[in-house]
Amino acid sequence: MKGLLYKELVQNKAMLAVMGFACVFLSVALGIFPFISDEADVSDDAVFMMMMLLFVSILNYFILFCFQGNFIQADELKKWAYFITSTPETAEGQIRSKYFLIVVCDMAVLIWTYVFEYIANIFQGSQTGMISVSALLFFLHLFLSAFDLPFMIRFGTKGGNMAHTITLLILVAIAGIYFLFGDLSVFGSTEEFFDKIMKFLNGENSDGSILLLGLFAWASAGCYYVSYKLSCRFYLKGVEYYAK
Amino acid sequence: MQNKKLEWKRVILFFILSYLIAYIPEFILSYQLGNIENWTDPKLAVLLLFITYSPALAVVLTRVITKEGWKDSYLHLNDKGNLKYYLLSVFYLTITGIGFGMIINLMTGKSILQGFSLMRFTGTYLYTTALSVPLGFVTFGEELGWRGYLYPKLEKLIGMPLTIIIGGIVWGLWHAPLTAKGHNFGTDYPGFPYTGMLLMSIYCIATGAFLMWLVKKTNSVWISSIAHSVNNNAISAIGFTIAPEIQEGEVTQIQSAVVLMSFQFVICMIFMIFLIKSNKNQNLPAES
Repeated sequence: MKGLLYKELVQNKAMLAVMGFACVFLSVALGIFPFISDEADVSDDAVFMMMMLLFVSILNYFILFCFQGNFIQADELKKWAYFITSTPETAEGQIRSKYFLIVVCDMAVLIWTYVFEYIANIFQGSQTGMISVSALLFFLHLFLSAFDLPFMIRFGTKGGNMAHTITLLILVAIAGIYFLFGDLSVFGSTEEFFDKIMKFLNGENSDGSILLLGLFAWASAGCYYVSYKLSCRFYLKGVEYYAK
Repeated sequence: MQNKKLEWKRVILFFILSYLIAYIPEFILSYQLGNIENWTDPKLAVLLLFITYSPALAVVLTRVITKEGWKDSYLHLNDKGNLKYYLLSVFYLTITGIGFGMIINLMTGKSILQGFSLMRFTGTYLYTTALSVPLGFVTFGEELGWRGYLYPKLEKLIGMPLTIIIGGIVWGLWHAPLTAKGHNFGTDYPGFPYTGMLLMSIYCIATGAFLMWLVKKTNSVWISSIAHSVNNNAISAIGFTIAPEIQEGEVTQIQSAVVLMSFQFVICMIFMIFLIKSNKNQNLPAES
C-alpha cells in the first residue's frame, strides 16, 4: 500500500501540482482580490464575504471532482492491471491506493479551505467560520465520488466519464428546469439564503435538518466504502475496456 | 547509557521548542487583545494556527536538529484490522457528553432528561461526530507532538505510569497561557488562574491516557487526532442536547467545565489502568 501510494504521488505529481495551483489561484482571485481593490466597497458586507468563500470552497471541490478521473486513467494499461493483480497487493491494493489518494486530496482541499479562510479574513476584516460548511462539502464530494468511481473502474475512464457527464447534465437540466419553472420561494432572496447559512453556522437549525445532515455525512462515508468494495470486484472486468 | 542521555536531550529540546512556539504567539495575543473572548481579530487569529501546530513543529525541529530521522513517527494510518479502534476513537468520548448533560440537568434541579428530543440528539450526535473525523487535521499538530513523540519517548525513559502523569501535566500546562486568559474555565472562579491550570492538567492526564492507549493499539497518531477532534468539537454540543433547557447563567463556565472534565476523567481512568497493566505484562519475563 505504501509503495502504491508513493507510485500514485510520483505518477500524478504534475496533475496534483496543476490542481493545487488552480485551487490556490482561484481562491486568491475570488476570495482576496475583491477585498483589496480600492474601488471595492464590500468590506462590511458579511453576506458577500460568505458568498465568495462558499463559492471558492465549492469551486475547489469541483476542481478535484473533475480531475480525479485522471488518477484512474493513469493506470489504464492491461499489462499493469494483470501484473498488479498477480502481486500480493492484488486488485484490492490498487483500488485502495486510488481511493485513498482521492481522500487525501479531499482532505488537502479541506485544509486549504481552512487556512485560506484565515488568510481571507485578514483582508476582509471579519470572521466567517465556514469550516463546517466545507466539511459538509467534503462529505458531498465523497458521496459523488462513491457513484462516479465504480463506473470509471468498470467501463474505463472513457465510459465512466460518459456516465459522469450524463449524470451531471441530467442534474443541471433538473436544476435548470426547477429554477425556471419551480417554486423558488423556499430559498427567499439571496440575502435570506445566506442568512439561513449564517443561522446554520451559529447552530440555529431545525431538528430535522441537523438529523438529515448527520445522516448524510455518515451515509456518504458508508457509500464511499461500499463503492470501494464494488470497484475491487469490477477491476478486472474493466480491463477489457482499456485501449492499450 | 549514551542512548538514554541522547533521548533525554531530545525530550528536553522538544519540550522547550513546543512551549516556546506556542507561548510567544499566545503572549502577543494576550498583550494585544486581553481575554480570550476578544481573540476574534482576524489579523491575529492566524497566529492560532501556529499555536495548535506548535508541538508538530517542535517534533520536526527536534528530529532535524538531533539528526534523529523519521523512525517511529507514528504517521501510518494502520487502519487495516484496526477498524474497531477507529470506531472507538470516534464514539467513546461522546459518553462524556451524554453524562455531562445528565449531571448538568440534575445540578440545576431538573429531571435527568428534561426537554430531551431524540431527533435533536441523534442529529447532533451524528453530525458532530461525522464532522470531527475530517476536522482531525486541526488536532493532528498536537497529537503528532504529544502522543507521537513525547509519550513514547517518556515511556522508554521513565515507564508508563509516570509517562501518563508527566505527559499529562506537560500537555495541560502547554494550555496555561490560554487558561490564564479564560479558555475553558472563564475567569470568574476561586484561585484563578492556577485552579484552572491544575484542573486542565488533571484532565489532560486522563484524556492523554485514553489517546495514548489508542496510539499504542494502532501505532498511528491519526487515530488520536480523531478522538481529540471529537473531544473538541462534539462533546459539549452533545451534552447540551441532553440538557437543552439550561439557561445562560444557570451554570457557570467553571461548573460545567468541572462536571465535564470529572466525567471524562472517570471514563478515561479505565484506559489508564489498561495502559499500566499492558505495560507491566510486557515487562514480565516469558514463562519457560
